[in-house]
Amino acid sequence: MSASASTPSNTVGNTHLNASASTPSNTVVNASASTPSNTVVNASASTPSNTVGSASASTPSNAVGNTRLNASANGRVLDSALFHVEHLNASANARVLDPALFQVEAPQTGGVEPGPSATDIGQPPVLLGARCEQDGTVVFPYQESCPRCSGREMSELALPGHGTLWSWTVQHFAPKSPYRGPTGTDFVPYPVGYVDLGEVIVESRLQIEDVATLRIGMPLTATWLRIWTDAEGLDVLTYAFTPGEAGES
Amino acid sequence: MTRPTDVAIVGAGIHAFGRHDGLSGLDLAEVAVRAALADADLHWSDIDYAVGGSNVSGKPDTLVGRLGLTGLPFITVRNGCATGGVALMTAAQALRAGEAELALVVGFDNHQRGAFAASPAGYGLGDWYGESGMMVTTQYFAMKARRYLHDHQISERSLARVSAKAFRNGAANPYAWRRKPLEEEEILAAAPVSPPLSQYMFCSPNAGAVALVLARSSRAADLCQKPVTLASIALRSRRFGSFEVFSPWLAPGVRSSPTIDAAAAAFEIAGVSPADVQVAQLQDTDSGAEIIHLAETGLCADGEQEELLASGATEPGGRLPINTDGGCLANGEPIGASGLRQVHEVVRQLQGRAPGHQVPGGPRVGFTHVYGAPGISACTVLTVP
Repeated sequence: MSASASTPSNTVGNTHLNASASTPSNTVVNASASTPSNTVVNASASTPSNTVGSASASTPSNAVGNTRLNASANGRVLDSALFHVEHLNASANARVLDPALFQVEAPQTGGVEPGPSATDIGQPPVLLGARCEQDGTVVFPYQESCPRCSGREMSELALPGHGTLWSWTVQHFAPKSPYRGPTGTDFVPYPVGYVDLGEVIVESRLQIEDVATLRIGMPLTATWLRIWTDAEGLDVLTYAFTPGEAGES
Repeated sequence: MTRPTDVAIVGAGIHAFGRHDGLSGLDLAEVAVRAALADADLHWSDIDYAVGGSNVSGKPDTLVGRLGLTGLPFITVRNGCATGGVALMTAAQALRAGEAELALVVGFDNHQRGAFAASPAGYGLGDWYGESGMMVTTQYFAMKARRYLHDHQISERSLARVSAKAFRNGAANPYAWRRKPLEEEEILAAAPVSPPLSQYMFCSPNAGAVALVLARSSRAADLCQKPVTLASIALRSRRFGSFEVFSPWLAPGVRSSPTIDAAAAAFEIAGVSPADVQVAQLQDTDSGAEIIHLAETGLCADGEQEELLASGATEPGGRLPINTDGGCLANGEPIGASGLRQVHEVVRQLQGRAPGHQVPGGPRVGFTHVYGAPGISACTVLTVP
């Protein structure tokens, strides 16, 4: 399956990123190469701008094809603890929802160049899970102990960005709090699903034009999704999966 | 097959399930308790041990202020969807341990309208999970049902058959909430909530109460014309590999379920086989859940449900009557009362005096199953000689 892109080689260096970190800028972890392409994915379907973002080839880490989450002009990820990212930049107009969802390669302390587009994110998100050193169980998001063997030797694991649809549904009514997306007359039904990434099945929002085309087993690839724009005008971004094969961009 | 440690149900009472906006959960509970006492021809002062459960609708032990300040031990339990099962188990254990002669169990709730809202922190999850719109119980039921139907080649029409059966049974049950029969086509064409589940394939939170009076089997015959033996009750939480509500991730290739474990334990303790069951109430939070639980409890094989439902085998007159009182789909789900409603219905079926459709032929072995978040299940086997 396409999730074969995941492999133990995705295992991130063992530096532990505090999963509860709430600051978007974080320590570096990694050099894993799960995304071959540097193409920018627009994080928000609702944003007209689709300009290429700041995943410039000049970034050294791009040499190894690393994910770069550059939350630029007006986007941020919903929870960065969910993701493995090379740079997790929350600049003037963007933030991640929870930093613990991401893994970050290098701290960005000031001087962040805003991307050319309001909501462009450099690369598709890479989710940050954990693998138990004792029995190999893979979980998401990162947690300190293994739900299978109770062991506490968990190492960070960058999850594959490609998988297959395991099951899905469509949310037809606006959820109650703490849901932060559009409600009332602005609410639009949205699909959610479980995506089989090989060693773990991850729950995710889905991004697809026509839900009637969703099929169990269809190949999916990770992307960004805007959930809401917060009081400071920042787009709050989370991960989603959208139709696509490994290797496509 | 009565054993010295067996416990029997000698009285049962219910407050009709539905919307009861003018009444509190405690009001409903009092009605159910007095009905159960009257059913056993007992007075509150005869009861020497009580267990009460409510998920959100008040402190059960305050009922002593209405029923009588007799000084009895009154245990309050709160265990999500398994609240009723835990209350029943706690009372049964006290009787078996010789700590009481006559125990009363009561479960009740009066919920607000709409789907249950849940706090991510309460489930050990980050706020992101709720904020991004994935912390919704109906999504879980829909995705679990879709995957199960896919894996076992069961049609979406089977989902509608479950609902149609529930509303037919509910229409005959004076204590049920939704009492209007619906055709399969109406159910399939109804507004989607979370496909493949439509609005008529989900139960709703509502209000209701159930009470039971328990005695040790040695005394039961003196108290009740037809006592029903609680042959077993088993409670289990989830193990690795179960697919539960509010799961940001699942383990591939492993299948476990608290229902599988609790049902197996209940049958083993009771010394009966699933094939012996003549009437059963299964957790049908949605119509997919009834299909899944038919197999997880051991009452049928995976995939067999399509034929069972199409042939009418799970109707009150069929060979495996399921949710004869209309289940959660027709009764709604006041969490603290829901598991005890199942026991109430099976007790009445085994006594031959079901409020709605009576299973013909004098059934002697019944089964109940509750299941809920975050992966707990309680099952009972109930028998009459």
